[in-house]
Amino acid sequence: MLKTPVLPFWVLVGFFAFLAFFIKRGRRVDNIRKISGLEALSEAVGRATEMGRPVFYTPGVGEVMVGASSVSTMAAVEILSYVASLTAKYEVDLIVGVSKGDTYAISDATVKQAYAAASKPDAYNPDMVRYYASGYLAACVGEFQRQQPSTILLFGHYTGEIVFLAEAAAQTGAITIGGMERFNQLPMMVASCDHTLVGEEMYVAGAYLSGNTVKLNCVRVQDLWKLAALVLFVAGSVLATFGNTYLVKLFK
Amino acid sequence: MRREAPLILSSVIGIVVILEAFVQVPLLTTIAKELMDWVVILSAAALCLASVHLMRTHIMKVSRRSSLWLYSVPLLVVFIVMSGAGLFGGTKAPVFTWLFDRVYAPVDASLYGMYAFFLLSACFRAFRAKNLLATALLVTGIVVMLGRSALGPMLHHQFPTAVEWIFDIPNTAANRGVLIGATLGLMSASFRLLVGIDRSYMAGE
Repeated sequence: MLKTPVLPFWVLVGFFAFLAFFIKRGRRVDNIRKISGLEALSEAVGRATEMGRPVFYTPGVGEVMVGASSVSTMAAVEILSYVASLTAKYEVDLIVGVSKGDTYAISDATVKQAYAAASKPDAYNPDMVRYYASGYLAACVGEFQRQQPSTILLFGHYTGEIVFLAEAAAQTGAITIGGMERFNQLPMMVASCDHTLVGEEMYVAGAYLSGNTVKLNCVRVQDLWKLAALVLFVAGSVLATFGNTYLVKLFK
Repeated sequence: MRREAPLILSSVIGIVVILEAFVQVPLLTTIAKELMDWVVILSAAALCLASVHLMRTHIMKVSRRSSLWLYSVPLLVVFIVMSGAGLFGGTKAPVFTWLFDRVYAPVDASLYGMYAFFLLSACFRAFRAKNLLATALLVTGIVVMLGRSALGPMLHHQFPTAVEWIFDIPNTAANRGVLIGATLGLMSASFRLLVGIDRSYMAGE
């Protein structure tokens, strides 16, 4: 009946059941670890306000509907919602550069909704979200040079273009905050950006920024499972050192 | 109902597609395959929407003579020519392939040709020994660069071995740590989307 080995399926079921339990219990989460990249977001938008220069945001080169990049692109859109609410509040220009059609549609709707929620629907301009298609990289670098944004935010899914984007951003003197899930491109982002969200930090960003109890409980469960993985790592290493490969075989 | 319907629909579709990855039921496989085909159709519809927006924005820029409107003229010309060539002659048409091979590909390649310079500039800034971690990054970077070049083995025969050790032990350990954390984050984010806690796909609802 099961296509895959039994263990991954039950790990997934267990993870979801655990999440459902914590969400139902709905306790307040007070002690969430501070994520410097997210803490710096409002500061960076504030800097753009003081300097009177725009904020540039891009949700990466991933698609919302297709492929492994969809969840990270969704997470980037969630962060965009928060950033747009800040730019609406502080009345700063926002430019959103998008490379894919479906990401454009959802980003445009998100920005529009964020401006409406901030009681500034008139400040929304359809030209804020720009679709660059396959000329994405050149268009973004061009925007950095022409518009001289004071804050450049790079979240979502990226491949080799992250080096160009982050470096071109740094050369304009802008504050750069980035976040991505791909490990092989992450070092480039860490080397070039002022603040970086590593791995799962980007996925929790929406929950973290919202302060919503239910969403924060999801983050707590995620951390508990990470702790469990760590315990299994140590136990597996110790057992394997003494010749017992039970845990190693179980997860193969 | 305007809010509930998309939530229910996305939850059901998400659960069906996830189950299909694990469970061997022919009906489930057929439904999941059909749903995946619909993703392509919806994606194409979104692409049309984005293309219309692109055209509208640049036509407006040219007609209003907004700042930098001259940049919009070549964009519109290329968009019309390329779309026309693709729509009327197909992607194998000589005009389309000529435009792609002789214009798009070289421009794209020349842009990516600057990769090394951008990377060098990023390394120059990142490799400043400001603190202990940055110093560790600097030392590791130098060892890897020397180990991978012809100069390293000439200086000391152990350089390639040191590089292999860096890649196999500390690099793999960090890689796995990030990967496990990211996977758990991905599962948690997927769950939030599936049960409608996170509604970013409904434009920040």
